[in-house]
Formats: sequence, structure tokens, C-alpha cells
Amino acid sequence: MALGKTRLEAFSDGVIAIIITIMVLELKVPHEADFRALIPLWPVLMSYVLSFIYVGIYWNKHQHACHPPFCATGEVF
Amino acid sequence: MGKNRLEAFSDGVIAIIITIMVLELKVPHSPDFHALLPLWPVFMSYVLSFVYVGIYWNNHHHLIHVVQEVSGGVLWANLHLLFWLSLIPFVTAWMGENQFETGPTAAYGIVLSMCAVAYSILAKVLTSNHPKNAALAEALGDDRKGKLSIVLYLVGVAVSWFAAWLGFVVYLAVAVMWLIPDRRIEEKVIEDEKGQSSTPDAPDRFRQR
Repeated sequence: MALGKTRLEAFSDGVIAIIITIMVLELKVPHEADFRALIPLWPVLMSYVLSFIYVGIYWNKHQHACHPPFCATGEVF
Repeated sequence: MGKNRLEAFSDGVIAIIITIMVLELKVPHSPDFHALLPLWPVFMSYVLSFVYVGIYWNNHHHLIHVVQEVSGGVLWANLHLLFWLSLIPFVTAWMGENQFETGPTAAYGIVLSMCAVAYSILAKVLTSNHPKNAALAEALGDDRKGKLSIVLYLVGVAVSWFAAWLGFVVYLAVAVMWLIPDRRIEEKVIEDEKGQSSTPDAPDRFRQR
């Protein structure tokens, strides 16, 4: 079944772009203007970096996975 | 590997970055126009960051436009740039909330300089291993403007310690410098389309910049 992979790719890219970006909203802005106010944020930053890399890896692999004839069947969608 | 998906993905991420920053403009409870006054530092930092992200999107567009070939290394260099761009909303909000105090203004400059470093890494990766991207290498030349920006951001970080508003002025000046689109690449594209790129002395025009 040839469903055209362009929209599948565009949709996936959109979803992955949102996933990778909304994670940054977890980095809550401190109320103090001091650099020390950033220290409590380091676990959040570290998990953001790790997840950014993971989502990046998936996006990277998704590019290769979606070359025909592996992609664009109903099941893949 | 095609570049279409790299463009689509980067556009998506940059569009989200540029939009989520507006969420920091908290809606006042009173219907009075005066209620907007306390919002001006947040608004100013939003405007500056909107312009910066816009500049990056613009230049990214031009950069990828001339590229013929992307590899795995390019994908990661691109993601690295997107990572630093994604921290812009955070430092923007921090700077706005604290009325441009030293710490947040310096942090803003640090993120801007990391974005600039990431952008130059991306340009390097695009040009170094791909013979097909020679047109881009010619158009970019030695990228003096990019290097100058990194230095100016660091100057902005340093002066933030004496007067935070001065740091803001430095960042604003660099933004104005970049508001002029990257003509180097555009001219290169026009020239290539005219089919004149084969003349041996054509690239010198770009190197002199």
C-alpha cells in the first residue's frame, strides 16, 4: 500500500520537533537574579540534555528507517 | 541523505522556540493599561530574542539552501545548534523577570555565544567533508562576521558585571549587525543560477568580505 511517505515524514518531524522542544519548559525560571539560583536546576538540565540526545537519536534513526520499501504501509502509520 | 527533512525538523523546532517565549508575558489581572507597565522588561527581552531566533532561522535557511549533501555528522551538528537555541526562551525569561540584572544578562550572552559557536561548527561540518558543498565554502569565506559576533557576545557578558544594561546594548548591536541578511550566500546562489560560477576569479568576490 503506497500511502506516500511525505506526509508521514512531515507529521513525524513535527511531533518530534515539539517533543524535543517542550522539554525545555521544565527548566523553571528562578526568581533570583543570582547565578547560584541556577544550581538547583542542574538535575533538570542534565535530564533535559540526556532526553534531547535520545530524541535526537530517534529522529536520526527515523530518517533511515523510512526509506522504501520499509515505510508507508498502513501498519507503519 | 536528503536535506528536506533536516529543514522541516529545524523549522519545526525553531518555530516552537520562537513561540513559547511569549508565554512569559503573563496576562495582568487588571484591565488597566497601566498594568502593562511592569511587563516592559519581559517584553523587551522577548523582542530581542524573537529577533535573534528570527536571524538564526533566516541564516539557517540560507545555509541549508546551498547545501547539496548532508550526512550523519551534519544532523548532529544541527541538533547541537538547536539545543543551544532551545535554551534562549529560558534565559530570555530569566533576564526579563529580573529587569536585566547582571546574572541573567550574562547568562543570556553565554547562551548567545554558544549558539554562535554551534552555528559555526555546523557551517564547518557542512563544508569540510562534502566536496559537493564547495559553493557554500566559497560563499562563507573565513566567516569574519561570525567570529566577531562571538567576541562581542563575550564582551557583552563581561560588561554585564559592571552595568547589565550595557550588556543588553551590546547584544542589541550584534542583532542589528545581523539583521542585514547574509548576502554572501544569496549572491552565490544567484550567481550559480546564472551559471557564471565556473569563471575562475568569481570566488574572490566572496573571500574579500
